[in-house]
Amino acid sequence: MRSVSVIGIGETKMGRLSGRFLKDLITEAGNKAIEDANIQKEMIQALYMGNFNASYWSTQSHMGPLAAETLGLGTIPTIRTEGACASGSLAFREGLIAVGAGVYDIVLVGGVEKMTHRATETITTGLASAADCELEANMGATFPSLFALIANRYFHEYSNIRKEMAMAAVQNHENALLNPNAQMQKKITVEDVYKGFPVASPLTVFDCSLITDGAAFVVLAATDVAQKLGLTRSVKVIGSAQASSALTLAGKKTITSFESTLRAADAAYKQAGIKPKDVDLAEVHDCFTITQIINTEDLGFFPKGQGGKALAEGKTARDGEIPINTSGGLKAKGHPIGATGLSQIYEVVTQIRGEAGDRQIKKADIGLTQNLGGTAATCVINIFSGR
Amino acid sequence: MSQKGKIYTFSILSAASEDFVAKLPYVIAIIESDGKRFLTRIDNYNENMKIEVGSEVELAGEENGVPLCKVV
Repeated sequence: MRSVSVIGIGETKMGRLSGRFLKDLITEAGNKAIEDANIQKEMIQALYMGNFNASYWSTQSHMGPLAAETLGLGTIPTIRTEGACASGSLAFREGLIAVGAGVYDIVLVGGVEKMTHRATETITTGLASAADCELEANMGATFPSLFALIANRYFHEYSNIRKEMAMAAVQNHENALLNPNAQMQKKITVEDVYKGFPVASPLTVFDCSLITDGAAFVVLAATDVAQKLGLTRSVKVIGSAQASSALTLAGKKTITSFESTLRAADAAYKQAGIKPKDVDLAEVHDCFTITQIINTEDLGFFPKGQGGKALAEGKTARDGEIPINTSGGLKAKGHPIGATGLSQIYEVVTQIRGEAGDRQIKKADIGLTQNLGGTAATCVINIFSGR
Repeated sequence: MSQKGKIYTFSILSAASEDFVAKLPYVIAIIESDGKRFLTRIDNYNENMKIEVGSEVELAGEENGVPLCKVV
């Protein structure tokens, strides 16, 4: 496969964007990415769109042509990818494979979700469809409750990391304060997390990611094509892998470590020719605080059972040994489901370019994104390099 | 499952999807029985009940072909 680079990025502000709907979000983020790439729209040969559940929340399917028409991309081929919260990363990976294989030279990849116009129960029902409908959702399991099951089992197998989970939320809120695109611009304390509404024990509302409207886009090009065009701010994709595990939580061998992450990480690190210690920053899938801690262990940044302790020691802070979720993460930047994976890439590319402003970390040569769908039934990991 | 099993992990819910709001609060648990695991709902939960990993449960009927359990 030939080398592929990210040549342009764009995203909306994340949040409760009242009066703004799918096409409006697509227009803003898509055009920002195309302008950032400094290319003409006619050069885009295909469009890959990540979207989870506009079919249910906005009665809008057929997202590919909707986005292509909205952005004025003419008759190019387009497709929607759906893999729950990993929908955006799946779109990215499909675009990457097509450019890498030489099918196209330049493609646009986008993700979008509109959620806040629906009642919380309707959002919860829509999200629960990412689990096994018969064995989980129809028994009354919600996504917070599935990750609550994971947390309580983790407490049993390793140690009670309730406090460290709260600290993850506090840290992500602090990072979001420095991200103008973040939904939450509010400092919180460990006590606030404890006192939050007990959605599904041991998780309170402050352990949960946000309900968010937003879109994020990236432009991908063959690296040699980007060089010929004289694009100097491009960032190489040096590793990309995807893996799955059982859709049901009860069907997984273990629920305190995600097999899909372990397999995808192993493949991505091998492709990139690096070890976990070589990664300068990572955006990991913090759909819930427990998930962030498990992910940092599964990605090899910390030994199993030590992720909470490492976070409490400041190792994942912006000035720590491996800054995690400098954007504020799903917890505080926001979680516009279909756009989330691309928004993670937006942050990593921004950091590698050295354009992250007040939240810029000192050394950002190699960055990683990890995006999960469901209870880690889908995992996509990408590794980026500015060198 | 046989008539009895043990709680592998559990959660007490205070928020639910549309069809389950009326049942709140209720417990979702993964039960281990005869070396197999499955997800269930425990409807006889009340705030005085002590539930922990390892607690014994028994079959209490089924719903849509999936077993429901109660804490023994």
